[in-house]
Amino acid sequence: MDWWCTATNEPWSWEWRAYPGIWMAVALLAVPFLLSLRRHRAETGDPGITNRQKWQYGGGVVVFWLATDWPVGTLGAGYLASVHMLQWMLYTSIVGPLLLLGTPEWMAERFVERLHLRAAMTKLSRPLVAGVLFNVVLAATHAPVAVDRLRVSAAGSIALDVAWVLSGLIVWLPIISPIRSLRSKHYPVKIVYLFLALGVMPMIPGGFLTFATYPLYAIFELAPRATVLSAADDQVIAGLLMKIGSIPVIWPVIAVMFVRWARQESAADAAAEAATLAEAIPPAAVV
Amino acid sequence: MRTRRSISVLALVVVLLAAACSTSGSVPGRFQGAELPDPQSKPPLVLTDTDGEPFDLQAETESEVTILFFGYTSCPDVCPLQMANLAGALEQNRSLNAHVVFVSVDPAVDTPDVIREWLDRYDVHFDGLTGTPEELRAAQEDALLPVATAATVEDNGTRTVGHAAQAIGFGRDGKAYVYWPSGTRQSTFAHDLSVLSEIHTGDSTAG
Repeated sequence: MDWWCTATNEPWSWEWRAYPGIWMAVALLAVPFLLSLRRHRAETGDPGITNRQKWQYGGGVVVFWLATDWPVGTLGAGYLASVHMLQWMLYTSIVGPLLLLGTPEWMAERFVERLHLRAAMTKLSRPLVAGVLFNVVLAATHAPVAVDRLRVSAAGSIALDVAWVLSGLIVWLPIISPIRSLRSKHYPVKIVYLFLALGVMPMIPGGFLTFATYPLYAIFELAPRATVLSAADDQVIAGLLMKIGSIPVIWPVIAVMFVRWARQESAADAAAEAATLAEAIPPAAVV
Repeated sequence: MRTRRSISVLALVVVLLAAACSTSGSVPGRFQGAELPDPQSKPPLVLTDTDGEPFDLQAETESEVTILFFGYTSCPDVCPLQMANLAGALEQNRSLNAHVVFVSVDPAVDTPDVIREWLDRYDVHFDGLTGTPEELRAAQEDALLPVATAATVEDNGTRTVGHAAQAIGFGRDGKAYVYWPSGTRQSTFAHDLSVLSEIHTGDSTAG
């Protein structure tokens, strides 16, 4: 029995495999969250969470579990580069934002205070810091030497998955941090940040994968074939996923932010116009 | 003036020595696969191809880079990987005109049709050969490989034959210079096939 999905070099089979370490990680995400809610309710009498947040956090945990456990985790760890990339996408484009959106602000504040993370969180919520850190993690954890060495052991595989989940949380902090005061205040900044950090930068390593002459990752090239896909075709799909896979997530978010920005501007213009009118018309006329 | 000329001559000698070393016959590390210390001759195999016709290895692959591999089509791991990675390497290097010859070591199951269908999954240009158990035994011995074990069927239905996992690479001069164990990457095959293609008949730099 393995604790975590790793590259085993065994012929692929659809026979279910148990990974207790992954179940523990799921419990680590869910149990403290539920205990914290229960304690909050006992102390204040208030549920402390909206139904929407319950679904969002729960969804984040479920997607994390699906992306990490058999069969996706097993295929991604040692058989298919495309599934490996799908995991990264799920962690950074789905799990990260859902966990952040589902976390109530009071809980995030308590977490940050308890672990003395205020200064770190403030820095990590700056778009430049978050964007650079996310892309450094992306480049480092997708380098063939890193993947080939880390995916063959449980410890290395855990390190890779944890790095991806953490980077998936960090990259969304400037947009949807549970602590609202730490979110970037300007829509244009948020839009440009999201476009560059999650849309443009991943295209570079994605391009390397798509246009490489030979397979770059030894573990996926030398793994027993799990599908009819050749190692080269599998890598092309992985590269395309990295290049354009996040589009269905980031472009709707950018569109929503753009609409909100436009409304904000319209409201500001209307307020300014009203103020100008109020100044121009004598008080007597108003009466 | 004399000193400057001496330095120039010395530099020229160093450059010439370096050039001579780089083109000398035995260059360690020339191949990324396992280089054979003594190049071996292409074995005189005459087996049956997937059209049911006799296939004389030496005649059919004369002056061509040739890769010889003994395996079986129901192999769960080594054979599909070697074939897939050879196919991947050759797809990027069609100009080498390398000849891949697959010899089945499981003639009870691997009929010419079965071999053809299996090879076509990787590359329709690959040649597949079979023969009687005696012919196949002799072929493996001629290729200086351990003879494959008899097939066994495991509880899960997997058919297993113990066989040599390496593919053997021959230059255009008909000599084997390199072999590639199981787990050889496409980039390694491509590199070594390119080196093999530069070895010609009567090439004094061979080996």
